[in-house]
Order: sequence, then C-alpha cells, then structure tokens
Amino acid sequence: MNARLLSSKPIALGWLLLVALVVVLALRQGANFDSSILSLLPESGQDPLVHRAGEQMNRDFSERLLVVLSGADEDALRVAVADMAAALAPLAEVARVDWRIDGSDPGRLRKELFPYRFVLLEDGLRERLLQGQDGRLLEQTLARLYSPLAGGGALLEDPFGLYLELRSRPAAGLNLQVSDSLLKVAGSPLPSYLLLVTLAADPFSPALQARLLDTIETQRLRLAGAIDEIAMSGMLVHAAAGAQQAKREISTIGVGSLIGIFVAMLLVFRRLWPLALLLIPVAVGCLFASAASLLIFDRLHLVTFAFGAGLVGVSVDYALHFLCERQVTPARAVVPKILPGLLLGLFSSVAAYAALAMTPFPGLRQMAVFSVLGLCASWLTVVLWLPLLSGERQLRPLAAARRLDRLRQVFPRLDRNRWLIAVLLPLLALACLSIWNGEANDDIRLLQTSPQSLLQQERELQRTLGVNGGSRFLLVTAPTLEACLQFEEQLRSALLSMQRDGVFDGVRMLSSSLPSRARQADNAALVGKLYQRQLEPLFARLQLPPARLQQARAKFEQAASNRLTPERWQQLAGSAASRNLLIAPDPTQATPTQAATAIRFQGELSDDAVRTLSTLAGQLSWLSFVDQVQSVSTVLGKYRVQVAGWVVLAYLFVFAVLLLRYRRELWRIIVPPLVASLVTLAILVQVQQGINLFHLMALILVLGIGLDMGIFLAETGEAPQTWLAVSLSAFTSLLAFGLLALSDTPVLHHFGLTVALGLSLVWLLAPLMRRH
Amino acid sequence: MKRALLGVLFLLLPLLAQAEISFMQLSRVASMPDELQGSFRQEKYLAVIDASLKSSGRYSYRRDESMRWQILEPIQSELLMTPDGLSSRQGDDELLRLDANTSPGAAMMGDILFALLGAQWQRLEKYFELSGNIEGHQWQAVLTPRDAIVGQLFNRVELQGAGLLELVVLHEAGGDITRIYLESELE
Repeated sequence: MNARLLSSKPIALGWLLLVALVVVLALRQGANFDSSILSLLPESGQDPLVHRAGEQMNRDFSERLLVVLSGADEDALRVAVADMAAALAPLAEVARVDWRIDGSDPGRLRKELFPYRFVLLEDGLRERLLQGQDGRLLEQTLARLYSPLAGGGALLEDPFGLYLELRSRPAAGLNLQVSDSLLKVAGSPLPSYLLLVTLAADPFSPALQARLLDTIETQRLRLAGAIDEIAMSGMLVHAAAGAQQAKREISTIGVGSLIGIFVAMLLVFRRLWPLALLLIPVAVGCLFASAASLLIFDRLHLVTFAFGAGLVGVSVDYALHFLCERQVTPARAVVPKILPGLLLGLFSSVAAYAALAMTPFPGLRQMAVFSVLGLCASWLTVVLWLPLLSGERQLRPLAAARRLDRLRQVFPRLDRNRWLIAVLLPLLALACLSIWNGEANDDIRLLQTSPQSLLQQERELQRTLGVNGGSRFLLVTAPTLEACLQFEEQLRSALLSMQRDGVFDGVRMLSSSLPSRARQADNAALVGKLYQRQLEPLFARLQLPPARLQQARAKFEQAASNRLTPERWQQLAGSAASRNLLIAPDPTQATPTQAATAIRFQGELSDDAVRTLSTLAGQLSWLSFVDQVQSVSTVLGKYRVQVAGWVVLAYLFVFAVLLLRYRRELWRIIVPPLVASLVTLAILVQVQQGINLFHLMALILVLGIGLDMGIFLAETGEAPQTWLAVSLSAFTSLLAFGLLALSDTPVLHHFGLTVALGLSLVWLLAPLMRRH
Repeated sequence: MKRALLGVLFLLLPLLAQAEISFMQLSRVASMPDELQGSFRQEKYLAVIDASLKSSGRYSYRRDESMRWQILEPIQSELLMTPDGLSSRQGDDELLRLDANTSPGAAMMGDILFALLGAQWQRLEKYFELSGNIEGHQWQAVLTPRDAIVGQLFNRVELQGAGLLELVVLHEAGGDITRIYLESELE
C-alpha cells in the first residue's frame, strides 16, 4: 500500500461520504434491536420437525401477554378489569384483548360438539362402559331426571346424558373459571382475573413495549384502590426487562468507564484535542459497524452490540499508537512510519474475528461481521483522517512516556533471568493442568438477561394458570395424523397414572379433544351396546310409550356414524386452545409424508419428571422428549468447542504470518498474550463454575490487544512513546470492558472479568519480554 | 287538580312496587330459618316428550351449609347441594360429584340451586335480576339471569310463598319446566 496515497484528501473525503451513506441508509431502515435468546440459536443442526414444533410451542409465549389483576375488593376489581381492557384494546400494538366470555360464546361452545356425543366420550365414562357398568349409568340417568338439575331436554337425543359428562370435563388449557362472564383465576389466594392480550407486532419492538407497559402502569396507578397486584407473563415482559437492564448498565458502567478514560487521557496529553482524536475512530467504527450490520442482518441483537462494541474497542490501539507517535514525529510522517505495525495489528485481529464467522451460530456470525467491519472502519479512520485532523502543532515528547519508560526499566528481563523462567514455567504448567481438569458450563441461563424476581413471577403465574412456557414437551411422530392420535391413545393411561403419582400437574393431548377415527368408532360401538342393553329398561321405568323408544334409537343411528375429522375440529371455536398441539406440516412439501403432535405439560417440570419422560420417550421409536432448554445448552457447548478450535487455527495462521516478519524474535510478541490467556483461563476455571463461550470471546479481545502491543513495540524498537501508547490502550480497554465484570447480566459479567484479568496480565508480562 | 294528581300517584304505587322490589325487601318478608325440613313434590315437564316426570321426597336445609334433597319416589336417590358444588348418591354409591375443581360450571349450578331452594336472596342477587310483588306476607318473585352463562341453565325462575318458600318454577332454556312444591314442617 502506498503511504502517500493514504494521506491524500480526496480519499479521506471518499471514506467520510461512504460512512455517511451507510449511516443514512441504516437510519432510513430504522434501528431494530433484538434481545431474544432464540434468535441467537443456530438455524441448522436441529431436526426441522423438532425445530418447527419448538417454534410453534414458543409462539404462544412470544405473541401473547397474560395480565393477571388481583385485589381484595372483588367488585372494584371487576370494574378495574373492564377499565384495563378498555385502555388496552384500542392500542394499535394490540391485536385483541380477551377478558370476558360474550353471551354468544358459551352457547356456541355448548352446541358445536353435540353431533359427536357418541364418539367423543369422557375418559371416566368410557372406562365405566368398558367395565360394563351399564346398570349404574341407568340409575345415574334416573337420578338426574327426577332431580331439579337441568338437562332433561335431550331425553330422546341423548337419554344417558353422555354429552353432559363430556361438557362437565374441565376445559383444557388455563386454570380458569368463568365468573359472571369474566375470566377468574382458579385457586389463587386473592381474587384474580385474567386479561389475555394478543400482540399485533413483535414483542421486541421498543415502541410496542413502551406503549403497552406504560398503559398498564398508568391504569395501575389510576386504579390503585382496586388493584393490589399485577402479574404478567410473556416474552414482552422479559424483552422489556432486558432492554431496561442494558440501558441502565450502559448508563452506569458505561459512563463510569468513560469518565475514567477521559481523566487518564487528560493527565497524559494535557489537552482535550487528542481525546477527541482518540474517540473519533472508535465512534466511527461502532457507528459504521452498527449501520452496516443493520443493513445486512435487518436487526441487531443486543448481545452482538455489547460484544461487538467491545471487540471494536481494540481499535483504540490504532488511534493511541498514532497519537503517541505524533508527539515525536511530524503529522505527514507518522502514518508511513507506523503503517507496517498497524497493518499487522489489523490483520491479526481481523483474522481472529473472522474465525467466529466460520461457526454456524447466527449470533456469533453477526458479532464477527460487526467486529470486522468496525475494526476496518476504525483503522481506515485512523489512517485517513487523523493525519489531517491532528494539525501542524510543534513536537514535544510526553512527560508520561518518560515516566512510564522508567517504570518499565524496573521490570526484570526474561532474556537474562533464569530465576524468572524457573518461576514462570511451573506457573504455566500449573495453569495448563487447571485448564485440563477444568469443567465447562454451558447453561442456557448464562444468556438469561431477566432478573430473578421476574423469573420467579413468571414461574408462579405459570403455575397458577397451569400453563407452561412450552420449552419442554413430548413429540409424537408418525406417517399420518391418525397414527399419531392412536399412539397418543396408547400412551394416555401411562401419562395419566404418572399424573396421579404427581410426576407433573397436568397433561394436554390433542387426542383428548380429537380422538383417532379408530377410537371414535370404538366409542360408538360401546355406546351401541349401552343402548341395546339399557335403553328399553330406562324408557320402561320412565313409563314412556314405545314410539319414544323408536325415536331415541333413530336419533342414535343418525348420530353414531358422525366422525369428528381433523378439518372439522380445526374449525371449532372450542379447539382454539388446543390447536397448537397439532404441528403444522412442512410448508415445503406439497403432500406431507410426516405428521406430528405435541403433548404439553402444565406447570414447570421437575428434574425427576424430565428424567421419567426422557426414559419413556427412549423406549418408543415414535416418541421424543424435546427439551429446548437442554438443547440450547448443548448448542452453546458445541459452539464453545468450535469457537475454541477456529480461534486456535486463526492464531496459528497469524503466528505463521508474523513468523515471516519477526523470525526468532516472534516469542517476544506472542508470549505475553498467550501466557496471560492461559493463566486467566486457569483462574476462571477455579473461581467460576466453568468456562463458557463468553470467556472465550473475551480472550479473543485479550489476545488482540496483546498481539497489537507486541507488534507495535517490535516495529518501533520499543520506543517510550509506543510503550505509552500500548499501556494506555490496555488501560482504556480495561476501563471500558473490564468494568463489565460489575454487570448483572451473566454473559457481560463473565466477559468483563476475563478482560480485566487478561489485560492486567498482558501488561505485566510485556515488559519482561523487552530486548533492551 | 293537585288532589287529583296525588290520587293518580297513589293509584300507581302498587304497580311501582311490583316492578321495583329489592332483594333486601324480599329478604325481610321471605326469610328462611337457620334449619328447615319438609317434603317436596316435583313435576318436570319435558317438552321433547310432551310429558311430565313426577317425583317426591324429603328435604332438609341448613343455612350456608347444605341442602339435602332425598328423592323417595319413584326412585331412591339423594342429592346434596352446597355452595361449592353438588353430589348425588344412591345408598353408598356416589353417582355424581361436581365441584369447582372438576367443573366450574356445574359448581355454579349447585350454588344456584342451593340458593334457590333455600331462598337465599343475597346469593341469588349475584346471578339474577329481580321483579315481583309483596302483599302482607304473601310474596312472588321473578328472577331473570344477569348473564348468558346462567341463562344457559335457566332463562327464568319464579318463586312464591307465604313467608316461607312454597313453589319454585324453573324455566329451562330448551322449554322444559320444573315445578317444585315445598311443604315445610316447623317444629
């Protein structure tokens, strides 16, 4: 590359225009941030059917917001429920609010299954018919007819009241009862009512979060007398909490580190202008990377942004290197002098980050693109703009450089010091041993940004309502839906006995509202036998004329051949809550060759339940237990291994390239970052529960800054101004990212701690490697 | 003129009273003792067969606790209604149990029947609108459901009595009518 070409104004102007263009384009598209754990997951690697099923189960959670209002004064609370619904329903962000059963609804629900009364039998009733308890059914029918209880009207169509039994079965889904048209939560200590809000848009949209949560909060304050408590469940709540926490931490940790950097720079340069020169490349890097990534990916994940901005922070190296060199070299001569070092520095970091893009982890790929773009943009800004911006001031070596150089001389040199080697080598061996014996921790909870209190509230609400986040379920697969339903029916008694044993609170199966055709035919036959044996005695005891008996028989013949088909079932109003148990067929196949149904559980599954269900699924080829939590953890582990592999490869490549330039002196460059990384890992293995993906991500940053340090020092013959530059760089990165160790988000905490340990060690080790 | 107007107003008063009686007024006239027992006759008219099923038996009532409904003719069976639900038994054999846990709708039916047969006006106010009239200790009340859920069970209920409840008429949505005549035995 021609150094003179780089310092020409038209090229600098061209770069400015490009940055402006990309930013304007991104702004027009609109900034879209995402904090969903799921969007960080790999696209491939999972059975597509399992993936579709998982997405379908999660949809409820992400598309709906459950709001439960509780209050001691029930009448006031009911008014408050109506008020809250009236405030939420008109919002553009809300598709619908379900909070009451309209007059027409129960009637429709009541009637629509009536034609299928002989083929959909309630479990207990079917059991009694199988056991031949016909006589008891006759007595029960007589007792009902001679009592004040309603429901005698179907004497000819359904004399034994089979349909009444079906209707009396608790509705699948939520633990709700309809109280005076409102949805009352059953079994909660305070009277509680549910509002079910269906969102019209993405729960991650900050505008939607603000509108909805603000409205709820305003109503809560307005109705404070009636509402004692509001509990909410849904992706939206967690998304909002995540965004909130990120904002809070950026404003505390972020501002804290900025102040620290500001003070340090002021102390060294004693002027404000260098500080601005320092911030411009980093800011341009982050801005350009954000804008370009938004254009490429549509939406930027919050974790990408946090890490990406961190990795781009390495670029502060370039600006500091320039500024410190500028103190002893005229503006035009700086870039030609330091260009080889800058190029090698950029090359080593870009190589490492690009390795992240090789993993099939969408989140990592996004981070890789973000970081590489940001680094290149910062680098170009340093090389193209800083010579023009830094002006023609007189040269004056910095006092800080002199003082820091003197401090460096205090350190012993590894070259001459056998004792130092004797201490360092066993230390290194110990570190390797610790890493070798260390364990990994890939728990998905690392990615969880929601505070504990919110998770607790979510769990409690899910338990009272009897819902479940949908992350664990059984999946039945077969060539046809009919076969799936028959498999479910085989499984039914085993699952019900597990429920009686308390393995789980409840189970929801498609076959309980849509029995297989075989089961429907079997039910009709059972009822046929009941009619043969008991219809005549019943009508005789009621003293009804034979004509009535004929009528009742005719009604049975008519309806017994009705079958509830899957198509008809999907049109029923009453099937809405169970429809997601039927996994939609593969949209890419014209004629589906595989059908699947999900069996969901109520409440949170215990570890024991998970084990029991996994064992059950292991014994049956058509049944699998899907545990999305576990599979994410497995994926995290897989990619931890992959990231480690790719990054090691990338660095071997970088070392090979550096070896060409530095030959026998290479060890002086690579030993500090390498040893620092190993020792940091060893310490982390001991003090934290295990190594995860995010520790490794932070190590890439440490390696990047450490290598830059060695390269710049080697290129300038370990000049005092270069030592100052790399020290400042380590210090600012320490402030900017090491402070993340204070974050409440596990991911950021791990990242920050690793950076803090690693960079401190790199800085302490670097002087030991000096030649002079 | 003034006098005439006043006269018209007085003439209107009984009409107003018929439309606008309150559960509170009714509870003063038609109150039930804490415990009561007696016999009943029931005629359930079923529209679909255009005939009535007749039964009779004994009942015993405890305020806020339960209504035990013993059918003696033509079958023997017992129905226990409580505010939480209802159960039905024949000898030692439990034929039916409906409570809030298994079936909220049926539990409501238990609560309503318990309230109706025990003339518990406060409970009934939750489910029904009231009209009717009171003359001395003779009273008559017509209840219409407040919401569609209750309307699924009964679309109108008539109660009458002299002090104590004597007749309950349940009009079901399908056209079936159940008349229950109560005869109490006061100690």
